[in-house]
Amino acid sequence: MLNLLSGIRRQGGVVNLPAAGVANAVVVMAESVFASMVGNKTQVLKRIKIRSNGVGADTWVHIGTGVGGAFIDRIPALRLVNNTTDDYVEGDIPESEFAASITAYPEAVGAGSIDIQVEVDERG
Amino acid sequence: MGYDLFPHKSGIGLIEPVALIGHNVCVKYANDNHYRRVIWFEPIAPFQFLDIGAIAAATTSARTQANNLQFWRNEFGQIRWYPIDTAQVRLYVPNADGRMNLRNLQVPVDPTIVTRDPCGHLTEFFVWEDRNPAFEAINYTAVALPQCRLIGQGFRFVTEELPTADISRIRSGALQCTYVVASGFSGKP
Repeated sequence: MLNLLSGIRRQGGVVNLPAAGVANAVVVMAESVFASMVGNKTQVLKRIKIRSNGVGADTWVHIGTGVGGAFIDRIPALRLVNNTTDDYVEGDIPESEFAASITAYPEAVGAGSIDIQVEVDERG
Repeated sequence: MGYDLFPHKSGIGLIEPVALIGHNVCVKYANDNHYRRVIWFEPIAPFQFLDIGAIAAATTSARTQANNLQFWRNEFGQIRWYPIDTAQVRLYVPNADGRMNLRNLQVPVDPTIVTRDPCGHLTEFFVWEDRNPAFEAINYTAVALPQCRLIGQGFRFVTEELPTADISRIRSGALQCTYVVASGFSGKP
């Protein structure tokens, strides 16, 4: 059956989460806001891939919008075990629709490094 | 003979030719009405007719000529199309003539067209001889597009001029004719 709500599937780049804490949240998928486009765009989270490189710490990774005091979790934080790669697909993720850029941060990084990549359905 | 073929045909199903061999057509281009009879036609399978090229983030491309959609003399084309890269694409037929114009904006086509109008009925346009279309792409995303490709499909029609008597009969309503528009509206022809 046709899903007339479906948009364009897009993926973000591989983004490093450089430091722990909400003040260090970074954009993992930018909202499309070009003034010349027709209509407004929103993003529906469809897939998340996270990697911890093995020299860091087990941590929670938050995904939402905003940075610092403006950050709002849009799904429950995900538990990332050190030295693993996690893959959450459509069925694992609430169909959260973002009308802003998607941001993320870990609660801890330790000496390690965390990379994240998301895939969205861009509606509009 | 009764025609059940018409431009932008919106019944269930994929693209059908707008006319068959022996049918009369009037290709409207600018202020000209080209009354013709179809003497031959063939399908044009889906193919990539234009790559507008790389487009920086949040940028509109230059208007780009789709020379691959030119036809020979006495021919016209019926084309449906969609982009396969993340952009909103505006159609011009010919180059200076924006199509799908509303009062306040020119409607673009993006890749969602394949779910919203799966048969591309409402993307259909016509090309008279070598008066090819041109396209502009709006890369509305926050990342650069390495390419912007457009896929087209349709039919190529070879025609011959109609005798004056037949044109008169068409104008009086005595002879059937399918009218197709190959340019924007430029006043009553």
